[in-house]
Amino acid sequence: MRTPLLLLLAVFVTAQVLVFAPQVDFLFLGAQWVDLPRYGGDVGVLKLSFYLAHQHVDVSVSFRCQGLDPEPARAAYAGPGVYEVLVKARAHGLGKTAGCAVVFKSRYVVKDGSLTDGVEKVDYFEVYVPHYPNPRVEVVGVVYLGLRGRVELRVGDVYAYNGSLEISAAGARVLGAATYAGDLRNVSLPLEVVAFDPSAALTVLVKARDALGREVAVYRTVPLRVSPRPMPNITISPRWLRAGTSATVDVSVRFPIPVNGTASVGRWSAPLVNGAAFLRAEAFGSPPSVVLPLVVTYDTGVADRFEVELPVYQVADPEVRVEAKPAVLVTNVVNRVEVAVYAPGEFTAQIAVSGATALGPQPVLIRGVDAAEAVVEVVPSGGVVSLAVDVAYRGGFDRRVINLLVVQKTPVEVRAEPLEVSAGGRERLLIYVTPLVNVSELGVELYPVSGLVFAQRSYRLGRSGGAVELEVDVPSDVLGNVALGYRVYYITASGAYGEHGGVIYLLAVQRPRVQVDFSVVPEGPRAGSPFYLVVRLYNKGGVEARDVTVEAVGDVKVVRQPPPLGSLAPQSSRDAVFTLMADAAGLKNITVKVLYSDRLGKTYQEVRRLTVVINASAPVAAAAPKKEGGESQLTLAAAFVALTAVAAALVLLGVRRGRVARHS
Amino acid sequence: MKWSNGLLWGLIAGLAVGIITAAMSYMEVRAMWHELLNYTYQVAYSEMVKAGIPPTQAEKLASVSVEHVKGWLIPSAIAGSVVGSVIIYVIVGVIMAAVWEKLKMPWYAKGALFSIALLAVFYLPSLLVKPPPDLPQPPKPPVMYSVGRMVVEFVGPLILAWLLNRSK
Repeated sequence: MRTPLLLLLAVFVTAQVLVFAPQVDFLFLGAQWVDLPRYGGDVGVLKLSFYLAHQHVDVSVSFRCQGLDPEPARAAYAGPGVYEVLVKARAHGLGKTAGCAVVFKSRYVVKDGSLTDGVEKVDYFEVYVPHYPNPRVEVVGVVYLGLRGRVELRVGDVYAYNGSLEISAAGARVLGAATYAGDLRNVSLPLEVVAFDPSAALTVLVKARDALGREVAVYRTVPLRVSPRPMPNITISPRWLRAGTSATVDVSVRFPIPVNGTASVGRWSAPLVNGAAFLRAEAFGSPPSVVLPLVVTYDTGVADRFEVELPVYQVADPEVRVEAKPAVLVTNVVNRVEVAVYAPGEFTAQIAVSGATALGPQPVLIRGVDAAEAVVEVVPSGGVVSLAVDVAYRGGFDRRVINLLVVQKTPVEVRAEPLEVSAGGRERLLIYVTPLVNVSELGVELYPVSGLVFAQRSYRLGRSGGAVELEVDVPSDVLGNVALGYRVYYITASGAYGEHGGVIYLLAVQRPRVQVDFSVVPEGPRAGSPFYLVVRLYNKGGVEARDVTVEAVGDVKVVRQPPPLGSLAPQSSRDAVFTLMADAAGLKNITVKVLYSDRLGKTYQEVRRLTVVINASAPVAAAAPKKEGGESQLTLAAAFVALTAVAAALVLLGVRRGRVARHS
Repeated sequence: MKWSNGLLWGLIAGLAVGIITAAMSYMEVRAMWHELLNYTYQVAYSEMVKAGIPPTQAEKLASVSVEHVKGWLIPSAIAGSVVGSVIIYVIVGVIMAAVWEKLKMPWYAKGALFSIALLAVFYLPSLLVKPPPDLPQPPKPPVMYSVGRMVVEFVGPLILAWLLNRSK
């Protein structure tokens, strides 16, 4: 049944075509894009189709459009049949419909084997310039270099179309899903990325189809905003270390952003969570400072290294003490220095000596618990001897330096007394020799240097020194400094031999020196009779004796004192005469004191004693004058009284008579 | 009374008294001749010794001093007596003349008054005050000469008063 129907239909259609087939020479079949413009201003290719019943020669096709700038096309011939020409056209914009007028021109037409005049046909058509996939891509957000960060990928276009996105990164790593498929008109895609390079960028591959259905792949590269990693705030406690000791150091790390990872200092580490980490490490105080290497490893694998410097101070541990005595040493002799070390618990100390030659094995080691002592024998060579004591104890290590002063102290002290000697006489000096160091043997030699006259002498003294007497003569013409030299020989307690010499200066002065002599006149004084004590003063010194006074006291009565003698010139003499009287016979002791001074006001005193033999008084001669004197005195007194009485009587008589005469 | 009167009669009385006391001094010196020489020697010797002269030398010098003094002892005693008396009685005469009218008493009373004064001036101190036991002690004249002097000193003003009374 079907076949006859189909056959009938075919006959019907053919008849229609044969009957109703028009007679057309030219027909514009339309335009269609062969190659789309991708953007405004881009050139696309339009295919214009014509139906040409005959062959046309020298054909040109041009058209004008609003919104398109086509290029004319030429061909040598076209037709018969469908003639298709490709024309380039610049699109002003996309997504617009352009109204166009196409002009077909031919110079000749070949009809029935001959050339006829060509034709010019104008036709109108509208062509739509479709959008082309041109997505714009941007990344919103900031990531820190090396750290995980969240950004927003925004993809958009001017028209909606479906496509797919494939996201990759250069200099960074995209974590999580990196693709998308769907409408690409306005896409916002959150991404987690890790940027490893400051110039890291995301590469977005956009796949879509154009209006012709052809696949379009567009790459977009968008740089990531990469910021350098923020520095953490690192706090350490304690902030310094004591030299020679170990200490636990607390390290606190805080980031201003929430980062995760691990913080470590050496073999100590702690997790870094939300930007904070706290760890505890051990450090040893090694001057001048300790550097702790803090390494922060982020969960992205990136690591940062920080160096934290802790100053190390040489602060002495108050529990450790070192003492040394004596504090003052003597140069060029062996000094025994006792060193005592105090430290808590068990300790070991080492003593190193500088500035001196140390005897015995060096360095000196001391071991003890809480306290220990050692003796170091040193011979100083400089002005200061330093003992460096290193103590290792449970608290760590400490160092002490003790400086001991070295003096050029003489090993012996030599002095003389008196320091003033009188010129022009013999003086007895006492020379004191005192050792200032421990000696086992000591000797001194004295010799004149200037001004003094004496023979050189040597003396041997004990280990504690002593005093030696020395008689020296001082010439009278010597005045001022005189000197005597000494040389002391000694052997120290440690067996070292030493010598020490010097000069002692004395002052030779001239002073008055009064010599006192006596004589008694008469030579055999009697009791009750005055006698003279003549004190002869002779100044044998070199200068004047001033304010010379003489005093005599004793078992006799001083009837008359001599007047003050004033001054006594050198090498001159004066006598002071005392008038004395003894009441009874016998031996009478008399003490004479002579006081005088020199021109400097210094006073001197000479005291002499003598004994005088007083004889008994002559009884007759002594008795008679006394008796006679008494009688004559009485007689005179009686005569005076008598004469006065007579005179008084005469006066009275005269007065009475005179009164009577006046009354009468 | 004019003081010139007193001066004149005092002079005369002084001469008279001076002659008498000179005679007495002569006799005293003669009586104490050796004591005086000895005293002179002692004084010279002690002063020389005090001055610093050695005793032996002082002895010799003292002896020389005594030799020098010998020729002058008597003349100096006589001259001293006369001159001393003249001076004293001139002064007494002037005073006596000045107070003659004021003293309402006979001449012997006025004379006695001045006698008392002279005795008191010349002898009272030596009687009341003992001299220090000095050496050498000066020699004392025989007591009768001292008493004689005292009498002369007593009589002298009386004579002067008599002379002044006669002169007015």
